[in-house]
Amino acid sequence: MNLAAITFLYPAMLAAVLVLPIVWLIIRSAPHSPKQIVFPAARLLRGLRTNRRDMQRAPLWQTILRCLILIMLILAAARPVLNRNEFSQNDGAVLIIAENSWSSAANWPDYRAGLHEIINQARLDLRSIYLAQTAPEPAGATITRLPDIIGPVSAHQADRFIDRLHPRPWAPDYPQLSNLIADQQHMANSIGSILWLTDDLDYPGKAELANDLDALAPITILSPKRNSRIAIQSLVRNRTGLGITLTHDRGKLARDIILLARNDQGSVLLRHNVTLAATSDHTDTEILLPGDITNSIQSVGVEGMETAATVFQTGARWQQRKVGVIVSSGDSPVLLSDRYFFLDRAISPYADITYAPLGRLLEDKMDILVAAGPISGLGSQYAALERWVQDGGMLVRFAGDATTEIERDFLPVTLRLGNRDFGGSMSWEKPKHLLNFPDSSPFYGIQIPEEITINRQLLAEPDPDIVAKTWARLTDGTPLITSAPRNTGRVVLFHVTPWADWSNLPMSGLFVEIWQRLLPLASPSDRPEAELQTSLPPQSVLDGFGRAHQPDATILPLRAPLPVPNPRHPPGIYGENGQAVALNLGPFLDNLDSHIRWPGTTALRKITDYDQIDLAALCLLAALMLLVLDGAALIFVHHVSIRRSRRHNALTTILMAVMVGGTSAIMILAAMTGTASAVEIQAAALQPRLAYLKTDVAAIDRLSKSGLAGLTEILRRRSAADLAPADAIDPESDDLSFYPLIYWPLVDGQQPFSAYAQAQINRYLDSGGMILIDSRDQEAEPARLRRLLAGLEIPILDRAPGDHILFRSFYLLDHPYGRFASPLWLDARPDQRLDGVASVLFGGNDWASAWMLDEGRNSENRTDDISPRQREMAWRFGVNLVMYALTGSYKGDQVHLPAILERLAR
Amino acid sequence: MALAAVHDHVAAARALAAKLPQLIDESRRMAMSLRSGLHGNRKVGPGSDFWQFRPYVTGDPANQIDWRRSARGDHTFIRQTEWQASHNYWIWPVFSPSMYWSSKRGIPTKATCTLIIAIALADLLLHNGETVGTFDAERTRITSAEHLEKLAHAMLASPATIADQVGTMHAGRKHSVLVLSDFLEFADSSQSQSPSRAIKTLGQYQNDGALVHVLDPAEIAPPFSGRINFLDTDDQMIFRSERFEDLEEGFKQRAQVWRASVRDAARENDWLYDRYITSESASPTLLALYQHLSERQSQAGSNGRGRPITNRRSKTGA
Repeated sequence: MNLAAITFLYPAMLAAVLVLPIVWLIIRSAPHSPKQIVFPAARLLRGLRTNRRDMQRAPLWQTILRCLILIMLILAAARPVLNRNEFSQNDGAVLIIAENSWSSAANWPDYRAGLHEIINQARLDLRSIYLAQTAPEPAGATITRLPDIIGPVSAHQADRFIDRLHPRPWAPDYPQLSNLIADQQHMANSIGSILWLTDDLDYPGKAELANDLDALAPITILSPKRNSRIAIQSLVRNRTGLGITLTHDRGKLARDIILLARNDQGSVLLRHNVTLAATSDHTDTEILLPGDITNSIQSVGVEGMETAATVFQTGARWQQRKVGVIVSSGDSPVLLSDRYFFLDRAISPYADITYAPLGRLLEDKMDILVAAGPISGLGSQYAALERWVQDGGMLVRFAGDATTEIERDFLPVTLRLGNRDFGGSMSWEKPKHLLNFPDSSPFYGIQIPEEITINRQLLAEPDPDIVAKTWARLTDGTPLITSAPRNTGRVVLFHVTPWADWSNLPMSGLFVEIWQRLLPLASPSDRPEAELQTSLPPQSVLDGFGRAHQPDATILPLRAPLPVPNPRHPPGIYGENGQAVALNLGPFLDNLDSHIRWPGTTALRKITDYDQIDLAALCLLAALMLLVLDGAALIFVHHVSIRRSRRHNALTTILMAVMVGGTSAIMILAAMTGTASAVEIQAAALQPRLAYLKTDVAAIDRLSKSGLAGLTEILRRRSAADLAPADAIDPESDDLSFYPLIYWPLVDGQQPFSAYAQAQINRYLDSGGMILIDSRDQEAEPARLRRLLAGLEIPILDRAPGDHILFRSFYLLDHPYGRFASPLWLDARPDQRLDGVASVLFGGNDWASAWMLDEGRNSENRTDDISPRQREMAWRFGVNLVMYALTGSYKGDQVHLPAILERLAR
Repeated sequence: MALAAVHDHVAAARALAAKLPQLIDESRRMAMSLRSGLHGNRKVGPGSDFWQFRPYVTGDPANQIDWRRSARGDHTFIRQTEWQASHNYWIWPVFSPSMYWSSKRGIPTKATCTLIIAIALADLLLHNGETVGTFDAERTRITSAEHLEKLAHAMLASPATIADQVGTMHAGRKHSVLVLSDFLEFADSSQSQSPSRAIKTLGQYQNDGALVHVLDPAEIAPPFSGRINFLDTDDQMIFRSERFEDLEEGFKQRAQVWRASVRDAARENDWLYDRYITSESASPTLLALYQHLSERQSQAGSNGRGRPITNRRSKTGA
């Protein structure tokens, strides 16, 4: 600890030290109280002269001790602060702009520490805080926008917010932030200083934002200590292994980083040292690696840098397929290279090609078999080929020579006899061009060059399903590439030859692109879906630190071409199996070496490690300890006199004990207040219990409480579910995650939830919670619910079918009985991740009124219109509901019960 | 418990009375051990029974001549009677409030020690057939050891100050008077009460007697130091000392003067003075008292007044 690091907030208070000598004299000359001794013979002393000047003084140690106590108190009054960071001198609120776009992830601990330091200081200076973040977030159904500026809030609230803040794997939106700040006029009036935690990477709109802010208040830029930016820009396969391009800022010195390649299990396959050139902002590196290991690489990252930019994921296209070209055993390799030249050139960068007779290829377990014209050697291998296709193989066929007739089997479509010529010398028709790929085609989105012409083609019979099977067609609508699934396998037919006599397609770049899309479709391990999708649903998405997560509902499916990562399409894996596409952040990052030019008045600072510590509490504590020590010493010194005159010192002892005990009790209490909520949470977690949402209407709350109490009691009587008494919860403050079922009565004029509460409820629903929303008035229309609960992610609701598990999880019921028996709405498509259990149930049957037990009913909530039978049915529904909430779809599995019983009987 | 009683001497006296059976027991044990060391008093003394004739020597009172025996011979004989226990003893333990105080937990209060000595002495005397009384309101006198408890209660009820009450004490002629006290009421030099006058009053009818000065060890050498408020047993402030170390010498000197004044009062009246310190054994004091009282009685028949016995302890105490 460096003494120079201590500053005093109120240094004037230190002047009080000047009175210390006087206090010293006072303490010194005021000795402790005399001992009281009963001594009758002391009357002998009467009239004896005592030497007043030789009066006993307080002992030196006591004087020093008491002066120390005083010094500590003076110090505490002067508010000493260790490592004070004077971020801003001005008065007024602080606007903190927290960078949380992709570039912040690398230095996130720094940013966090910096934010906490700032907030700490604001707490000491008693300033309020505005908080803005730079990364946009998904909002509503499709749009994205920046979160609102939070504020003015106290330091404590800001701290809580900071804890929830995390970096996003996409770009910041500075222009929008600029608008946002401009809109907040009241904020502009109250802020005295702006603290912007960001690095010096230039970004569109950043300098403008800085200029705008500069007009508002003085800006201080807090940048992290480490300022290195690295992104993996590309990752490509080549014949010898893989090539990686890194983009980074120019350092003064060459830096060494370590690349880590991981497989789908996350274990490291490869560590590779790369030296980043000091002079350039790009570094290329080649890694020699066998093909099968390269195949299993799932992602490449940089060691020690956990950011989305330094994670490059590979999709299905990454994996190299084994392609076998079927040749007859008599063909010589020289001839082959001639015939299959273009095919070879198109495929070989991305796959291994083997030329062999069919029998050998089938033995070698190829992923894709290519045949031009008739499949040679089919006769003996017919059954084997059939089995191979059925098991997931992909057979790609081309037209052969004009003279040879292609056989009927292993074709996606029925072919007409003969073929069609255009543009030849014997034809009046012009050579045909390609139409754009339909969106049902895997080639959707590939640009078609003008120069592609087709002279001859095989003609397909116009079967009813021909359109669905066609992946590419000519301008006249006749199919050029057709495909049909066979069980888990697939047969693809190019209606032209793989060499350049029927068309110039094989010679074109388009052919390469077509193969690039075609190859991953043959998934060697997974079963390809029979249906191909063009809109790729998210499979896993990366957060700002490059860690994979389950996608949530805000993330939209991906369509070609790949977009820049944004809140709706964060980096990650989209699409399943053979269609899996990796959306990476790195390729979209360029020019990481750009440095922003801040306005001249901007103050630049580095974030330091040293958080400021308020030493006043420490001083007070020290003073208290010394005081206790003083008391203890007094007791010790007067030990003898306790025996002499017991009564007085017993009193002193008791007083001292009370003081010490009281002090410690206060300290413990002070510590307890911090953990009081933790105790409540613990209590809630200890036993399962139902909960109801607190409304602002006390009568409704009482109704909910007694209703749930009644249901809990019924459950205890009739089932094994012994729940604790129901809790009232408030999503604004309470943790919802402990409650299996939350009952939510809607009331008129309900206040909309804050963003935090909405996020809480959304998280609760997303993680398997269940909410029963009760409109209490028999009217249950999802549209109404949606209007009421804007901002909550209420899934699409549907009427509960009569055979829903909810109606047979304990009792067999036909309606969601409550006070009424109107239909119940619940998730139309419950998330499979949640085991198909609905998370939102919505109805209007006023269940709480019907669940009340007789003893809970009073004049206030008397509901005379509920007959005993109705009540019984309502209880049954309640039991079913809780069973559903507690056991999920378990009861649905009872369809297997006969099989299980049979097995048991055996 | 003795400590607890300090602040209320009535309660202290009651507590002492409650302990009386044990104290009497203790006293009897002490008296027994003393008695076994002495032998029966088969010797000449005051009494009615004939004991012996002895030849007349000049100076013997003429009324003691046994003329019938003298007539039988040439010599004149004096008739002597056996010493008979018809003598009266007054034992007065003065239980002033300060008597119920002791300086340390382990040391019995002065009152306890005083009562033990008083009862032990009474027991001894009663076994010799003497009459023992005390100066309570009824002037209780007993002649049998069976009534010791009654006597003890009477002792506790006897006056608690000497100077104020001594005028009402009227011991009979030639009765022996024994005063046991800490004589702290004579400690205050400011008050003009002197012990010698009180003793003179007590001994006005040719009374023989003894003063036993009961002292706590702290009253001889006070073990205190530092800043002390000295309180009386009734929590009244007596003296405020800033540094007791400075006062210690003065205290010792004054204590010596005070003790000497009590001793001198005894000497002036030819009484025995003995000092008893509560931390020490009571037996020597008791023995000295007993011997003094019994021997003086034997001499009392001849010349009535004798010199006080100076035993070991009175020599050192002076």
